[in-house]
Parts: sequence; structure tokens; C-alpha cells
Amino acid sequence: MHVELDAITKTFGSVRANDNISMRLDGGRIYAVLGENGAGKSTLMKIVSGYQPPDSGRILLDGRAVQFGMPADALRFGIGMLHQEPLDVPSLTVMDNFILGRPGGLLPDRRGARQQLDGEMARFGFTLNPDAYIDTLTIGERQQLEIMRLLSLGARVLILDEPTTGISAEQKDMLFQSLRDLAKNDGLTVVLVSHKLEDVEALCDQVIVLRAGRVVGEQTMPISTAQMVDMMFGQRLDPVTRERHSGKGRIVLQIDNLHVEGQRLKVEQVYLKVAAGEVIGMAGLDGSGQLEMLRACAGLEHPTYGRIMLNGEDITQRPYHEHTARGIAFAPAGRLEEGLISGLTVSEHFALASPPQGLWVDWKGSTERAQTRIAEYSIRGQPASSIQTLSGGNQQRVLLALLPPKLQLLLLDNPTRGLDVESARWIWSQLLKRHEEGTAILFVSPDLDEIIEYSDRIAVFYGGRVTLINDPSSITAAQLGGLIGGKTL
Amino acid sequence: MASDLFSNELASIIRSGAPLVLAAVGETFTERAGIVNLSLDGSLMLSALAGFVVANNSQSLILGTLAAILVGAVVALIVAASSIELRLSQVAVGFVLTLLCRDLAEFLGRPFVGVQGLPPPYFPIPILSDMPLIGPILFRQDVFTYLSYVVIIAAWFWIFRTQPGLNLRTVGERPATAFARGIHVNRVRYLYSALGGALVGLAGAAYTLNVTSKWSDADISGAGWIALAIVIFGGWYPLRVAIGAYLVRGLSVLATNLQGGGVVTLPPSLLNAVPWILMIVTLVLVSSGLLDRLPSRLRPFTASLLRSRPPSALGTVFEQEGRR
Amino acid sequence: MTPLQNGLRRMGGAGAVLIPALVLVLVFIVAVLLALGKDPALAAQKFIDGALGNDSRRADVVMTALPILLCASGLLLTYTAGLWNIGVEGQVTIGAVFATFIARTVTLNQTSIPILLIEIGLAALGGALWALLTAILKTRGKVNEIFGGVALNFISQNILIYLVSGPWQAPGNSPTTAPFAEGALFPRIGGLRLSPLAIVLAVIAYAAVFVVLNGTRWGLQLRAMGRSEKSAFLLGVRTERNVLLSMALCGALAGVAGAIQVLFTRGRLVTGISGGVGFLGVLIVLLVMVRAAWVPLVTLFFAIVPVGSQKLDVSMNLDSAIGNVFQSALVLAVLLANGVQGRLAARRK
Repeated sequence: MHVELDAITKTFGSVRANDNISMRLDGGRIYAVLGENGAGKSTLMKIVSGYQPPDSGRILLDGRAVQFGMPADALRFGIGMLHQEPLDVPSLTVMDNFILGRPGGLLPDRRGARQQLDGEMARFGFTLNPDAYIDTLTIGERQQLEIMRLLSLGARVLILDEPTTGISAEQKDMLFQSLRDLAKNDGLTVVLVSHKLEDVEALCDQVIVLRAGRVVGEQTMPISTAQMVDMMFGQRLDPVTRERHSGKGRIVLQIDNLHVEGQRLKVEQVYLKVAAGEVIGMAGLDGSGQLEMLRACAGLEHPTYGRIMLNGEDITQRPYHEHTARGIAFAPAGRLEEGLISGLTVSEHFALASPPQGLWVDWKGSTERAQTRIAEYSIRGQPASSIQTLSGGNQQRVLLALLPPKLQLLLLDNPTRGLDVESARWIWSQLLKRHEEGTAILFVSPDLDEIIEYSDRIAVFYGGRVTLINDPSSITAAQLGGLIGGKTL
Repeated sequence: MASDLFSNELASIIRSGAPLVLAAVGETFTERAGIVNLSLDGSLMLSALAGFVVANNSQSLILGTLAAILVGAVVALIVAASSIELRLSQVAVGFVLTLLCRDLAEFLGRPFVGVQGLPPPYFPIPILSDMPLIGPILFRQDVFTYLSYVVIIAAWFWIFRTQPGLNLRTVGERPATAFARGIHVNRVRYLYSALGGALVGLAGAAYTLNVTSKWSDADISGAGWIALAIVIFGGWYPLRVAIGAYLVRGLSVLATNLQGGGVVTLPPSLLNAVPWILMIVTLVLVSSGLLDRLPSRLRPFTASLLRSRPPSALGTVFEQEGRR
Repeated sequence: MTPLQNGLRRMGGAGAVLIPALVLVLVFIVAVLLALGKDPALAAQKFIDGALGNDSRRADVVMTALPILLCASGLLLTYTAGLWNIGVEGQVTIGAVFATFIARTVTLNQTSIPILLIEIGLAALGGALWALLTAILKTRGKVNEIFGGVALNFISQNILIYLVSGPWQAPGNSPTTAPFAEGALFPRIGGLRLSPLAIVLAVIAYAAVFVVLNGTRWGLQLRAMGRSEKSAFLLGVRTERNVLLSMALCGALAGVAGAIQVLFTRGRLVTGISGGVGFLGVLIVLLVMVRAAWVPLVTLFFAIVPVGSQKLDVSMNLDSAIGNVFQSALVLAVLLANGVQGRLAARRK
């Protein structure tokens, strides 16, 4: 089936997410839609798969114009979309998720669906237990289920949104192999939405690049990485260079035989010593316990066993506010969910986070402080702006600006989530300033490139154990992807 | 003789538990779709009054029951619409409706206090009622009680065995997924709010047309809150919810009997506090995570029996991206 | 724009919501009256006369408003922090019960400030303890404060019934204590049923809450918690402690309201001593959308309703419960009107 997009335009408020986009996608080929965060690729794919209507423009399937009211309409026409975090129901079983949304009467045809699922699994070599609950699966396994489900419902076009984030190298190989088979043998149109160049190089036949809501280039593979970067950013990015920390010096954080319970498994016997100014990246598949470890260091999670020491003092099981008093700070990933307070202004945030001084709110002082920090962190906003009116990048800047100066230990969960490349680099330049001042940094990220680029050492979480990589420059993202999936180097 | 007394007692628990079962299972449907109808205590009372008045004026239990169902459904739909269309807090609207319905029932019902109602629809089922032991307990009852059996089983079957039930659970757990799979989220929410409200209305009718056969707001006051708590205790599973309802009734009857038998001598007013103390204790048990501290041998047992996790999207509004 | 202008503009916006809602509810009430065969015009006249007709009635309105104002002030704290303190009714009741511990033992026949202070202090303590039960159930037992509060409301009601029909019952069959001696009661002005002490207490409480919410760090913390408990906690707010503290303070104010009910309004402990002032407080806080500045005006309006509708009971044989219907219908209408306005504003954007 071939898909044509004709002058698709979509605006959100004053932002043109898609600006007059046209393209043609043929059956049997694998396309990459490439672009940095905010380039408009997700919006475009949501329009193609029926999640959002375009403001104007047409979608043509095999030359026929179609309109979708819902994603299910798009799937009926053969367009299926796989989301970065698969849209399934965590509290239901694999089988229930497979059945959900299938056409049928009052009673689902469980036996028929089971046979179909078994058939699809045999075809791809996937092994899922139909009675397992979704919340016990990895993201990679949930993607496999979604792909099988979409195909069983007759998808001829498969759109995958950043499918390689948070899955292991092995799962990625399996995914790519199935996609190649589907395109070559079954003539499916496969669209990979990504900002990862290595994925595009490994898989795709054709690359379409979006920037600021427009198509800025289309090339047949293979082309060089440099060419792709040129198209994406309009310029070349200099690699960040800095000296790796030696790991010597005063030990700030010492983790001693720690046991924590993760979402899906327990992490046991963790030993780690972090020196002042050291940056440790924590890599692992989603739910492998890295986040729980991070939160345990902040006093937000209680380890089941073991000790956490800060500057030689045992802080295990102490409450969160004692951790902050000792110079530990935690920056969560969900900015508006657990970091900032929707409905409060920027200066109210500064008033709230400032060290306690007396009974009254110092409005003048906190407005001034907000003003200074807004300038320092080049935040686009006013002291009186409500925080939810700021963009994601600016919210992240506020979150960092709120952190107290002179920290012993800074804990970050996914510090650049959803940010474009420029903002992400800026955020890291600020973080690295802190590391130069001697603050030890621990961070969790699903982005393996980010981990390799900024860590002095990497803690790999797999199967309830943690292994350390002492020289991140010696390893590639692909190798690290293998490690978090349980391979050895 | 003693066993006769015992089975009479059980039969009366089943009968007087019917309104609680109906209301709590109704609320289970509504909450499974992601809507909290907090107005239960008031809407139960107002629908009970509506049922009583209409039945008495028309001399028809059926018309009375239909009126009660209508009132229950309309109140629930107000909660649903305020959330879906107006983005108001379900809790705020539900609470104000609790008071409004209660006040309305009190005001409008004043002339009907002390009026004798129609005889309850007693209807032993042939053959089944002659079964030893369970016949007299389960099948020498009235129509409302039989309806409560049907509702329990149908609710379980519908929610866990059918395709629409799977859709319902998805709407309450992850509306975005429901939308992606072609389910009209808000339509489902309206539908099950109305269904749940209708069952609450039926419960109201079961009070005034059957259990008490007269109108008195004091008899019904509090029942709605108990039903709401039972939904939590039951972990949003119809069968567990029903067990919870019968337990509450059973314990109250037991307490009264112990009192009557002179085993314990508590003043009746303090006895009336017992269900509420039980409510607090059970809510602590199912919500506090206390159970997780039990020896791991016991855990699978307590987990399946007492674990209680609300539908993830309960009380939230579903907004489709990119549309207004 | 100055804060004053800003405030006036916002008041104008609120008026645009309030007036249609009020009209809607009045239409509803008129329809109910017509359906019952009563003359709405006559009812309105009797109602206004009953509430504001002479000094004594106006004094009644003020005195009715005070316990409601106390509850609403306390509830401003908990609702700002996002806590649905439905248990406020029980906190009023227990406050009244605690005041009675002393009041029923007093034999003195003239006003005594020390006795009054002890009674009021005990009432505040009782209300605060009762509120802390709900708060601890929430923070430690993870029991939603709505359910904990409702259960404790019913339990307090049963304790009250037990006391006045058991150990504290006056000779006779009615469930009540004996009337308290003068020395246990709030002093009143001359012939009017007006107590300056109660007025002072309520006004101070409201003013204190207003200042706390608008000027102090703690007030800002409560606001932050109410918007997002998780974020507030990570930003350094001691959320658990603030839950306990705001609930206890609200309970204390509700307890004082209970003291006024028992030591002034009734002069003895009877069943239903709270008279629904707690729930009225909740309705008011919902109606003003937790904006403290509006509370006194709305409270006064809400106090007119029961006083005026008592007259209807006597002169028109119309159940005074219609006043309650009016109040809750008004709050529902305002909520809905606010929702409509919000949606219209969102659509315009």
C-alpha cells in the first residue's frame, strides 16, 4: 500500500507543528522520519494514524483520500501505530490486550484469538506468555505484542515512534529483523520515527528529515552520518569534550551491599563509591531498579537491606528532608507531575524552595531572586508567569534553578526528557558546572548516548545486579544496549 | 428449631443486604469506568422517596421502582456530565449532590413520614425454595432480593467475561488505550454512570418498597457511604463487593442479636457506631499496605482476598489530544 | 493593574457566575413552591421579614453566622491544602461534647471568664483531636479523608446520642442534658440574643486564617500542597506534618463552633447539636472556590436562610428544610456555572 500526504498542516496555539508537509511512502520499503525533538514528527505520525485530525491537508491511501475520526479508523484502512510506550493496559493480561479492540460480538473469541497470537509468535520467534500481566513485561516485549496485534488486524503500514528507547540490543535486533521481513516479504510500508542516527543507518531504505514542522530533505540510504546531521540541524554539532574524572579524591557517597525492590525485580548486593565531582550514569531497561536506587539515595525509597553513607555518615532510612538538609538534591523526570506546581508562579516557586526564614513570605526577595535566576538560566518567562505556561525546556531550567547551590550529591531522573538537542546540551553544560564545583552526580536515562557521553563511570543494571564500566569512552551505545539486555562484552 | 432460627436470620441478612449489594455493585460499574459517584448517600435517599411516593400514588410497585431508577440514573449523569463536559471535580459535585438530594428528600418526604406502603413483593420460587437448607434462605424471598442475585452474577460475567466488559475496564484503567482501540471513552462513561445510578435507584426502591415498606430518611441515612466504602473493600470486584455487603449486614445483625441475647450489654446508640468502626478498620486493612508486612507465606492469600487497587483513571478527565 | 483592580475584576467575573446561578435556583424554588400550592411572593415576604424584620432577628442572623464562619475559616486551611475535611461535622460535635464535660458541672450563676476559657479550650482540643484521627488515618493508614471523616461523623453522632440519652441525660425521657447554669454560658447583650465574645472569637479566627493564607510561608506551603502534594514534598514542604497541622487547626475551630452551639445557641447538649454548621462551611468553601475574601459575605447570606425559613415553618406550614435545599442547590448551580464559564473561556482561546 502506498501512502501519500498532501500539504498536511497542524497548529497548536501559535506553534506550527506541521507546516504544509507532503510526502509519499511506498510499500515494501522502510522509511525513517528523522528530526530533533519538536521538529513535528510525532504530530505528523499521530495525524497519519488517526489520533489527531489535521487542520488542513489530505491523506491518500493508494490514491484514495481518507479521513480518520479515531485511530481505529486508520487501522481499518491498514495503518497501525506503535507508540514509544506501547498503548496497552498494564493491569490486563497479554491475551486480554490482544483481544481488546478486536471486532466481535458480546463474547470475545478467545480460542480463535489465541490461535492467531500463537501463529504470529511462531512467525516472528517471539515468546510471550499469553496469561502474563502486561506490567510484568519489558517495553520490548510489549512492543512485540503490539506489532503482532496490529498485524493480526490487517495493518499494511506500520509506524513506529522511537521504538528503540529503553529496549535491549538483543530486542532491538529482533525488532529490526522482523521489520525487514515484513517489508521485504509482505510488502508492508514501515515508518521509523526517530532521532537516533544509528537506528536509521541500520534499518532504513529512505530517510525523510523534518525541521521546525517542514520537510527539509529526503535521501535514499546509504548516506553518511554527517549528511544526516546537516539535514537535521542545518549545521554540524561539535562533540562535547571534557576530561574524565579520575574517580580519585574524597568519597562523597558510599553504597554498601544495598538491596532495593524494583518494579519488576529486586536489585541486590550493590556496592558503589562515588567521589566528589564524579558523574555516574545509571543504565538499564525500564524497571530494572535504577530509578529505585536513585530514589533510595534521595531518601524517597526505603532499601530492604544495606547501607547508604554520605561523607562517612550513615543516612539509610532517614527521611527525605534530612537528605536535603545534608546537601543531597533530587530532580524528578515528571516536571509538572512531581517537580513543579501547576498554578503557582515562578517567584512563588522560589519563595517555596528558599531556605526557611521567618514566618512571612518574602515576596520582594523571592521576586528578585526569580528575576536573577531567569536571567542566569536564560528562562523565557516572567517571575509572575504561572509555571505551566512555560515550555518544557524552560520548566526544566526552572527546576535546575531551584536546586540549592553547593550540593554534595545531585540525583537526576532523566534530566533531558523531551528536550530538543540544544536545550539538552545547555542543561548538561549547567550540570557539568556543578560537577566542577565538586558535586557528585548520579543520573538515570533511557538514552544510552547521553549516558556514554556524560558519565565518568556507568552503572549497568541487569537481572537484579549492577556492574560498573570504568571507562565509558571504550564502549559504544550498541555495546551498552547489549549489556542492559544481559549480554556480556 | 435452632437451625430454623439460624436460617431465618440468614434469610433476613440476605434480604436486608439487597439494597447495599445493588448500590455497591452499581457504584462498582460507575467507578470501573473512571467516574466516582460520591452522591450515593443522597441519591439513594431521594430515589427511595421517589419510589415510595410513585408506588403509593399509582398503587404499582413497578412504576415506583422505575421512578426510583430514573432518579438514581439522572443524579449519576449529572456527576458524569459535570466531569466530562465541564471538567469539574467529581468529588465536589458528588458531595454537593449528596447534600442536595438528602435535603430534597427530607423536605419533600415530610408528608409521607408514617404512611404505610404497599406490601413487599414476596415471591417464593417454586421447587428451588423447597431445597433443603439453602431453599428457605435464598429462594423464599422477594423480587428485589432475586434481582440482587441476578445483578451480582451478571456484573461479574459482564465485567470479566465479555468484550464490552473488557472495554469498560480499559476505559477506567487507561482511557488513551481505549481510545486507540476504537472505544468511545466518554460514551462508555456516560453509559456506565447511568447504569450504576440506575442500580443505586433500584437499591433505593428496595429500601422503601421492600425492606422497610415505609418512608423514613433516618433508616437510609449512611447506607450510601457504607456502599461506597464496600466498593473499596471489594477491590472493585462485584463478587467481593457483594460479600462485603453481606458481611456488613451480618455483623450488624450479629451485634443486635448478641445485645438481645444479653451476651454483651452495650447501649444501642454505641452499637450503631459498630459498622462505622468496621468501615475504618477494613479500609485501613485494604489500603495501608499493612498486609505486605505479613509473613510471605500468607501473602498470596491476603493479596487475592484483600488487596484493593482503584482503577488507575478513577476521577480523571479524558482529553483527546489535538482536539477541543 | 493594582491588586485592588485585579480583585475587583475577579469579583466582577465571580458575579457573572453568581447571578445567573442565583436566578436559576430561585426559579427552581419558586417552581417547588408552586407545585406544593404555596404563594411564592408571600413566602418571600415572610422569609425576608423572618430573617431581617427586627433587631432581634438580625441578631439571630449574626449569631447563626458565627459557628458557620468558624467552620468555614478552618476549612479554608484544609481545602487550600487539598484536604476534603468532610469530618468537620464530627469535629463540631466532639467540640460541643468536650465543652459539656465542664459546663454540666458548673453551678455558678453569673458569667465567669475563666470557666468560659476552659470550656472553649477544651472544645478546641476535642475538635482538634477528632480531626487528628482522620488525619492520621490518612497519613498512616492511607484511608481517604472523606471516608475517614464520614465514618467519624457517624461515630461522633452515636457518641452524642449515647451521652444525652444515657449518663448525661436530664431527668425525663427526652435525649438532652439539663440546661447549663448561667456561669457556664456565653454572656449576652441585654435583651438581644447576641454574644460579643462569640463574635470576637469568630472574627479573630477568620482574620487569622486570612493572614496565614495570604502572607505566611506556611500558607504558601498549603497552597503548594493543594495543587500538587508530590511536587510540594520534593520542593521541601513537610507535607505529612502540614496535613496533621491544618486538620488539627480546622478541628480546633470547628470545636469552638461546637462550643458556641452548646454554650450559646442551645444552652444544653442535645442530639444534632452541630445543626449542620460543618457541612454549611464545606458548601461555602466550595461556593467561593476556596477564596478567603468571599467567605464572610457568603456566610452571612447562608445564615439568613435558616433564620428566615424558620418563619415559613410557623406561618405558612412550609417545612424549614426548604432552606437547606436552597443552599445546596445554590452551591451546585454556582459550581456548574463556573464550569460552563471555564469551558467557554477555554474554547475562546
